[in-house]
Amino acid sequence: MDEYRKTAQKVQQALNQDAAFIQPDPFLAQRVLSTSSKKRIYKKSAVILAVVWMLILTSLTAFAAVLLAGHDVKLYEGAELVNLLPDQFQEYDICHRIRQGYVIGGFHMEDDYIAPMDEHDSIALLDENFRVKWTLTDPRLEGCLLDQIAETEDAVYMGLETSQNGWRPALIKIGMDGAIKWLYSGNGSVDLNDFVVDSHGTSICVGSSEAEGTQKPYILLIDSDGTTVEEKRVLSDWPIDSLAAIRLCGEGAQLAGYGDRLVWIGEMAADGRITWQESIEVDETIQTLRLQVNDDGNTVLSVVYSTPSDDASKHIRYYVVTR
Amino acid sequence: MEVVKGPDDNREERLTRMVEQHQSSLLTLCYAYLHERQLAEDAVQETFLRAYRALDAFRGECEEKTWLTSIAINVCRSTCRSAWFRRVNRRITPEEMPDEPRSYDDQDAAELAWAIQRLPDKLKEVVLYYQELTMPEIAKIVGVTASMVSRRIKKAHGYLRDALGKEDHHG
Repeated sequence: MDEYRKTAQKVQQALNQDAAFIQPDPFLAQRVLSTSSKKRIYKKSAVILAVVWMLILTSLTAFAAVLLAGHDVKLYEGAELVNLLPDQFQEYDICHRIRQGYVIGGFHMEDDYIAPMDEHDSIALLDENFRVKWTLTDPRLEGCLLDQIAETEDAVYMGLETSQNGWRPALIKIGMDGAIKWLYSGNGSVDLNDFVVDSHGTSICVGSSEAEGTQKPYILLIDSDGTTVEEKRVLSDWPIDSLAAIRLCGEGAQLAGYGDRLVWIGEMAADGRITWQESIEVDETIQTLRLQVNDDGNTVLSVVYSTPSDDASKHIRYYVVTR
Repeated sequence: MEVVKGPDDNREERLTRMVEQHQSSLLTLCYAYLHERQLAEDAVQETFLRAYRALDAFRGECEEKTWLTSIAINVCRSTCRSAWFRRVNRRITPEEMPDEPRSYDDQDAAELAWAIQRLPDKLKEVVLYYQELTMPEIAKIVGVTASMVSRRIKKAHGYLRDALGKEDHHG
């Protein structure tokens, strides 16, 4: 906590000094008011648009109310929340449900401060009753655990960014006894965003790779022994900068990524060929996206847009892929 | 005679107060992001203009500073996406910088500021924001989880280690 505050102070001092030569404009408020009044001429059409939007929103709200009417939401008075985790793990904030129980680890929290994995922090597997099955502490894990996890019959796979030798993306395979089977450490210019493990134990990782100031989609294949099968900074004719999500689909996989105001989704066959793809042009900045599957078996692409509007709000859009 | 204030007067007063309170910190933020005086000043003006227009919609769900910082970041991001901004070669060394001549009281702090300039954009964003903001507030501004903010800050510290180390050595 102290170190965070100390560093924050240093950074702030440095930035203040760097910008100290720019003096605040004493007439800025008047300038803003003057500019704003010039723009009022456009307000009439904005009002008409707003009315149209209100009508649309009112219809949607009514529709939502009809839908929600079928759901019964109960509030229980005097409900008690029981913390089941052993004391030493209560401060961790990553918890994944897997067949064997719960994998926890990642960050510990203090007030407003959330710290990534330190050298002595552990990853742990808890059983159904929240009893500790194993803990894993290893200096190579210092850094950050990613949100994604994959499991096979005999292992759990987790994505990391390790900090020991400069920041590097990493993938770790942990046996069901809590021992590290292998740890792949990648190149510092690569960001790994998502991964899956197929039925042969091959890990397929996607992300982006930076070279000469440009980002390109990136795919990495690691076999079940931890050996790199293939690594490539993908095809310059892809319309995107980064692959953000992957999910297995039959013998192949579905991939999704984004570029400058473009969402992309495609299907890749087992031999690496892109067999289908679709691009969606958007007029907002994309923060990230995820692929999931709904109850009907259709892929749902959720895209988080950053905050382009005047009131700095952000939102998520969901695209259902039906074929 | 008593002057009765209309809604617009109140709005103007709020704007004036916001400008007085936050102009300096927003200038620092926008300059750190864009590293060009004129662009930073324009970005701050645009920030207050957007805030003024959205003033009635702001219900105080977050601190005013958090709200303004969010808008400023959006303005800076838009500027960075503009064709003109992207065409200009910004991969220059401090010696080559065409900005007005500057003198720094603290050379180490200047090196730290320069190191921050060279961070990848995503990392730069989180480092810039910790102007007395909590991690959840930073997360709200950047649009990611607090865990992700923490991860990026730690990563940024890794990049800045040399410059920060020098400060520690002297400090």
